[in-house]
Amino acid sequence: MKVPSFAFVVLAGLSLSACVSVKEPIGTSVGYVNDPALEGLWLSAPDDKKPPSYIHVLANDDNTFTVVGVAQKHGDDKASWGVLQVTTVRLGANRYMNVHEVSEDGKPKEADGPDANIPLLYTLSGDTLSLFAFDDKKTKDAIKAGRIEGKITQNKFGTGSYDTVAITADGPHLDAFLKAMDAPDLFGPVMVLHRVPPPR
Amino acid sequence: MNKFRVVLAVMAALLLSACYPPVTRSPVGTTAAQTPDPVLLGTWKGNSSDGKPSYFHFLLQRGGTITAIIVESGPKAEDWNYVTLTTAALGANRFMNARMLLSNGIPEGGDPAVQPNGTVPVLYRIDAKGVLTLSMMDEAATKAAIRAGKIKGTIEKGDMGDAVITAAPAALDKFLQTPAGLALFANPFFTLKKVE
Repeated sequence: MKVPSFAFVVLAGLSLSACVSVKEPIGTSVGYVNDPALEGLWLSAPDDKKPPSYIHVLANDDNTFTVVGVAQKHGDDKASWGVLQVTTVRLGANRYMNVHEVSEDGKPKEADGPDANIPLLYTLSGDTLSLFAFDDKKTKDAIKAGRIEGKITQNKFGTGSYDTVAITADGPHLDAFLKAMDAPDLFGPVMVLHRVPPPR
Repeated sequence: MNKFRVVLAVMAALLLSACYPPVTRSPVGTTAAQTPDPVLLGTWKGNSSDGKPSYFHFLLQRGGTITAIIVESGPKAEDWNYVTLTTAALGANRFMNARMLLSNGIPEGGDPAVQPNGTVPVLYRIDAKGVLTLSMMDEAATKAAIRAGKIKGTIEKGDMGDAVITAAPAALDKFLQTPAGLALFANPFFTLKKVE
């Protein structure tokens, strides 16, 4: 699956989600409604190596979010910015987003098809937004157990190999599956963002 | 006339004119060293002259240009803009030469081909407290200066006609080091403080 390079810079954690694709975005059977709790400015959790990235979440009238991410130059990493389009949906008690990369450093991204969409689970706790992506192994187990329709393809890479995991269930089946209370168990953490209080 | 949508969105000071601010055919500062001002690089937050909060991210690019990503903040924030700029100092004054590329993801004017033939000069100052102010040329004052022959330029027909300063680089730089040249810059349309 194609991994947005912007994600490596600004939403680095999302790269982990690249192992599992979905045939259709999450929530197509119920429709999208912007989660107002996401609006505003978020900072990625800083680590010892990199300063935080700025993640601006702007609500659009058509129930999509435009996300503008900015990472300043740091060491050998050049300054970078990118734009994502995000839809959000609530299935039962679970909150999901579909992330689509629009552009990187002002250049349009033309990814299309299932690979263009990154499905994420998210939770909000106070001013902390946690993002989770499908866990490769757990999703494979769910497919093998017949819990969700999918395809596991082994790919050769050098002397080794890796698996590509594709959930091939259609929208209604995917949504029904992800509505279950235990659906979050299939996901693993990818990144944590902290809200920046709005200017007064 | 190009609609300068970012003005409507971010640079509220130009709401009344709703047209492209004065541009210079040649960037300001070509007779001096045009080097990216390192003081700008980083993230700034502040308010437009009408109180709307925004973040300005200045990112150094290869080739000595700076990308500015300007994102509205606060309740109902919805606008963002992508600007490329160069910086230059003329005497004690510092200038940006700005070109709007995208407004909410859409090429300014709807088509890159309709970009004005020039750049928007922005006078910027950073005071002792680290407050950055941005000022653009006042449209009426610039037109008056062109009509009075103080600086060479063109004015499109009509009240909303765009003003383009066409003076040669040396004449432009010389003019902008005079009180008359600096007086063309209006009150700041943005006041910002660096985010540490």
